[in-house]
Amino acid sequence: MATMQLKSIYKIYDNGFEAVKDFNIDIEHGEFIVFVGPSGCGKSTTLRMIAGLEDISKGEFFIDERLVNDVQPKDRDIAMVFQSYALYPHMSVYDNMAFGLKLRKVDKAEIDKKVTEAAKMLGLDHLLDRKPKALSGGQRQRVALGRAVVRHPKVFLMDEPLSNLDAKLRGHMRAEIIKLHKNVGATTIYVTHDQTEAMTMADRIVVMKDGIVQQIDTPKDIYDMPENLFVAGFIGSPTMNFIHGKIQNERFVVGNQSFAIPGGKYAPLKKGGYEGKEVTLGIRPEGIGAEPLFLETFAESTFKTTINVAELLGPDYIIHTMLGDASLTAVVPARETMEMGKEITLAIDMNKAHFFDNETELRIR
Amino acid sequence: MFLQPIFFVSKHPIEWDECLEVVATYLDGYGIHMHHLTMTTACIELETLIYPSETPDWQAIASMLEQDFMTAMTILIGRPSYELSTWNQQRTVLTLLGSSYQGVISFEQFIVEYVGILTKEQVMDILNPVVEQLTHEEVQTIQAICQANLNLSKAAKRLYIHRNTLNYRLEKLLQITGIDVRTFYGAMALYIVTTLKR
Repeated sequence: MATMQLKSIYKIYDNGFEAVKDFNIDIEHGEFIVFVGPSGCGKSTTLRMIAGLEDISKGEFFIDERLVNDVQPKDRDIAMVFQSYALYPHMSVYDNMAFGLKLRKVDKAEIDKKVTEAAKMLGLDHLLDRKPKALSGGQRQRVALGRAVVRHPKVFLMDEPLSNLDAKLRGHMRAEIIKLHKNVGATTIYVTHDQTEAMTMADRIVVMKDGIVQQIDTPKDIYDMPENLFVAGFIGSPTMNFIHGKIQNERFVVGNQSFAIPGGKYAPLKKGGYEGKEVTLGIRPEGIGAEPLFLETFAESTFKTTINVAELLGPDYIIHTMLGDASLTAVVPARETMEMGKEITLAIDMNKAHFFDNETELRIR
Repeated sequence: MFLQPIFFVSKHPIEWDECLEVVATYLDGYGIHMHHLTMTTACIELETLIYPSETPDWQAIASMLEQDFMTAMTILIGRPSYELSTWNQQRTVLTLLGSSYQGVISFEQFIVEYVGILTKEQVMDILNPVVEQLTHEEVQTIQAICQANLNLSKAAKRLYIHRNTLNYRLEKLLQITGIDVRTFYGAMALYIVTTLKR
């Protein structure tokens, strides 16, 4: 286990391009941190700087309070697992896992102990004699993890390790990695562009965009209290609905509809001088309902609309509709049949609504 | 038999003996000659029949080496050739690459991606050995293929030759230059070469 501090880290390439800007985070012993963001947002570059594979252009990076900017990767006591989980095809599972230790001239008996231990932990003990081509995708991925585990590093760095697997296996391996983390306890940084992985695995999530950290928080707080429009739109599936409208007399007005804003939500709007101004309302699909009890509870914020598309997921429908000019997605229980063209009444739970400044795109609070 | 140089550049000094041994076992079945160049560069030469049907997964090899040797690794895939004179040309490429690239890059890809930031002298240094080998007919063939958006049937029509004749010419071109005009980067690189020839 290790603590890590990244202080004002920058990655600036020779051509002046800033891939990572002013990255700051304090990571505790044994934390599972997930960097998430769209392609090209700088998450892998940050991970490679932590590994020492990329130079840090500016800023300071500490592991256990020791400045390691200029420490070589092999002396940082970290292990990496990459997206391409290629294994040495000519080596057995045992040899693949032992290889890194052999390179470090570890004693043979010690290697055997560590490999056997890791293989048991990962459920690979009956496969140690096999060659990679005789393994399934999930088993290969477990061997790739095992290659890192045997080294007993202070820190694990994982760069999209599950992206080569199919959806079902990915779900299974997510659980395996969480289990492994609980067993090993090493501080882990995990890079992904998949927000489901981020939400399900992380102790804390770092959301990045264009090389800039947008928010660092627990999955729940990222979901419930997104700092800005980008985080709000990136995390959550189906994505949050955004509706442009105006604040008027403690109501949110969009087209010819208006919705009462609860006191707790209106106070920051009033304080920020947003009365009479245009803002963006964000509401998650589950914050919109069609059941009688929901409509009754939020009678002040109901509206009539027509279903454009209804997708049945089994227990729920995802319905796509419109509110004024804004397209709207709602998740409603599948008790009643929903179909295209059907007129329905929906209500918005305004207690779950967020308001965002149209210029800064920050959440108003 | 051709020799294809593959250059390895590590960000930090590593044990090249061990590293190249691992690479060699990965390339089981190929004839290999290994060379150390500096503390951070090494080269292997693959005996090849020019673009065999299955090329090694260099990306996977780079990734494995990075994990096991704990250093960033760049692999430059040189162009196959009968003689070793292309070595100097490709070492120039390596010098120009410096630390600006990480991952796997082919000679053709280098030309396409870096030609805009190199001086004319540097471009000529690298490409002259290729340019000098080309006949007028070969230049016409390359241009016809590029103008036909790599569609060989259309290119053959443009050149008033049979498709098989075109295929024969392309094989010959590949043997002379070590660059396959049927690939995107190969076509782009050879197109740049032909503009220099003009």
